Amino acid sequence: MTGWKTGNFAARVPARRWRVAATLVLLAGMAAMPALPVAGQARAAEFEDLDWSVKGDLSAKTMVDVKRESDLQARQALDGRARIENVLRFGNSGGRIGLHGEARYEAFDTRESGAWSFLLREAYAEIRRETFTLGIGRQIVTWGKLDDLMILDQLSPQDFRWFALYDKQDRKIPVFMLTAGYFGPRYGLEAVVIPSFEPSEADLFGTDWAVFGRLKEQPWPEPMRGMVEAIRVDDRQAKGEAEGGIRLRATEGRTDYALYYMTYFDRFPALREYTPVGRLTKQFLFAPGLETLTALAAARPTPLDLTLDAGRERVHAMGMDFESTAGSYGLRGELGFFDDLPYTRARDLAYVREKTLAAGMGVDYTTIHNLYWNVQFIATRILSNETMAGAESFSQEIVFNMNREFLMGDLRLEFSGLYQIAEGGWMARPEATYKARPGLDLVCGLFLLGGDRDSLFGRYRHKDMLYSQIRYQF
Amino acid sequence: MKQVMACGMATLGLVAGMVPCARAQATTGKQVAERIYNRDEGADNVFAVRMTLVDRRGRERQRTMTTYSKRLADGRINTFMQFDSPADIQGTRFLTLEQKGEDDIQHLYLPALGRSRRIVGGQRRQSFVNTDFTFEDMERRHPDEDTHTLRGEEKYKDWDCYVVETVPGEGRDSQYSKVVVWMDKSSDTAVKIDFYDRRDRHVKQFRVDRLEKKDGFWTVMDSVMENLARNTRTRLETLEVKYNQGLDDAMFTVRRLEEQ
Repeated sequence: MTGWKTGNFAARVPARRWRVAATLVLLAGMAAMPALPVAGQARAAEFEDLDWSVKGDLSAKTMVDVKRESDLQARQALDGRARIENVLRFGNSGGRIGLHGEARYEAFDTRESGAWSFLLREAYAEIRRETFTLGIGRQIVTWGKLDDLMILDQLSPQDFRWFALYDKQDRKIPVFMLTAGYFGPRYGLEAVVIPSFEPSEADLFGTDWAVFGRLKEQPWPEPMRGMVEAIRVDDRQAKGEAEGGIRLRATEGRTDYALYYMTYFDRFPALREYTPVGRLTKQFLFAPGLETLTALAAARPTPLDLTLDAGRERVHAMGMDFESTAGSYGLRGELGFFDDLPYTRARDLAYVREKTLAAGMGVDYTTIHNLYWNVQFIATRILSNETMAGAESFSQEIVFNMNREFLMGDLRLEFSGLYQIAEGGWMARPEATYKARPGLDLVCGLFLLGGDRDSLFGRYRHKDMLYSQIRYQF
Repeated sequence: MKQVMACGMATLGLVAGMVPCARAQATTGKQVAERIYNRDEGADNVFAVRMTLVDRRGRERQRTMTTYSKRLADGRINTFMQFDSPADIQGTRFLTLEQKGEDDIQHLYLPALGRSRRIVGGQRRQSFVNTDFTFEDMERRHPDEDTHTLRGEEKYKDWDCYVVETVPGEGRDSQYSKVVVWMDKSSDTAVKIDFYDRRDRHVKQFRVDRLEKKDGFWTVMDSVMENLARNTRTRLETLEVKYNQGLDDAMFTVRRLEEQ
């Protein structure tokens, strides 16, 4: 698997020989469930001044591609993981230490080896007092009010190696940070400092969910095949740079609101060329085909021409959010202004940076029959007269979620959907979860993608997935 | 109607009580309602509760939770509730900030969301986390908001009770057309409540099975809410209770709700 590494503590080592062992371990873990302590009981050992709580989960998710476009696509995939969360609280001092670990095994199809990873996910120390909090360590930040959308929730990198198959909170990758907060009776001020930038994790090549898919594995004509394989992306310039943000929170009547300032590096790469010929390399990546490849070959590219940069530059962002209620409806929204987000200009595929404004609004409601629905609308305007490649100058997106529980909560049916109005891409995910016994969930669902080939979701329209998951929480 | 719900939930121990008040001989329905509303449950209290959900086939699901309640200087009560087990609901928390003369402010924290969310007043008729209680059942309503009529005196189990019928006050919205409350005279505890829907059908019944004095406060140790229409019930057992613990005001904040 091509690594677009986050620099976290992962030992993500491809290891074919581990595959059988991994499966056995996962199965053994599942089989051992009945032997675990009383289901759902967090084990806590309480001493005079120390409280230790442990919880965790075991999960195995299998995915089957029900709409394969080519033999290069994986027919099936497995994502198994075990997580454990330890929190030590030191009496009434307000001190606490968190240590969360994860073991994960991921495999695509039978032609590729799987990969184990062992992560020390969150590891932090905190002091919490009545009016302030200080913390240090690897943690996740959750800012903003919208669900599964990211206007202001930008500070934690995410794992996009499975695209959007997992929810936003599940995708977040803990990073080392310093946190501080002051909490007055009506106002609160929070600050986050991330001393060293870590990008989101996403594959560029070599997997079905990679940004450029299996481009390098296509049967390109032999003289040009080596050239395609030589294309690479550097990601160096933001390493070691600091990021951070502050948030001022307040409540007025029945409305919560917050003001934000953040400075960070764009989490996702926007490719920047080192040379003019590099634009032909980008042209081939964005519109792969013999025509664009021939044009690139005709320019007799050097290794530097075939090398692109992730194009990460510092972004300054300001914004606000709010949450309130109106009668039977919950309302929430976010507004963000971003100084100099990176884009690719359509007319010459040049790397440019433009100011961008994004606004989102969400409404949720629960019917008398306990049917919950949540609709969110987000609009993004690139403040430029230029046309950008892969990004509409004014885009709108609708995100929809509805769910209901049956059998006293044992069965949960959920439908999530997304439609990009300007781009024409869409995603739909119906899912059913059955609680077979306390703590043990059986999940099955469909992950459907479609729309225009140039849209974010349309480019994966051949990746409709049927998935099932067994998850045990303890 | 709120007042009756207050009776119920104060009885359940999910909502803290008020300051001790001078005992007066009840002669009217409203006075009975006021006695229940002002029932002494300490300046603050902490309840560890086991909740058992029983479906129509008799299958049981158990949950445990802890509730923290504190009375403010102006008489309002704030409540912080967290589920401790099973693991799939562990970490789910509710914060209720009681308001005078208007809907309470409620926040819900779901671990999967990573942040809290405001709950709207329109959800009052909905089931509270798949139990036989609705959010309305958990509200405290001031006696002035509804109309109370004393129906007489009656013995229920071992308790000598006043029986009061309460209907929603003018302009008050409720899922119930009326509720009938049996209040134990010696403890000011609602030991039985019958709920009638808008078609005047007897749809739910709340019963106290065990009442004990703990640290000088009458405490419901075992109770059940039965949904007669669905043939399901929710039993609440008090595992542990502590009064007057000096709970910090910071306990009842969104910040605390969102802490891991």
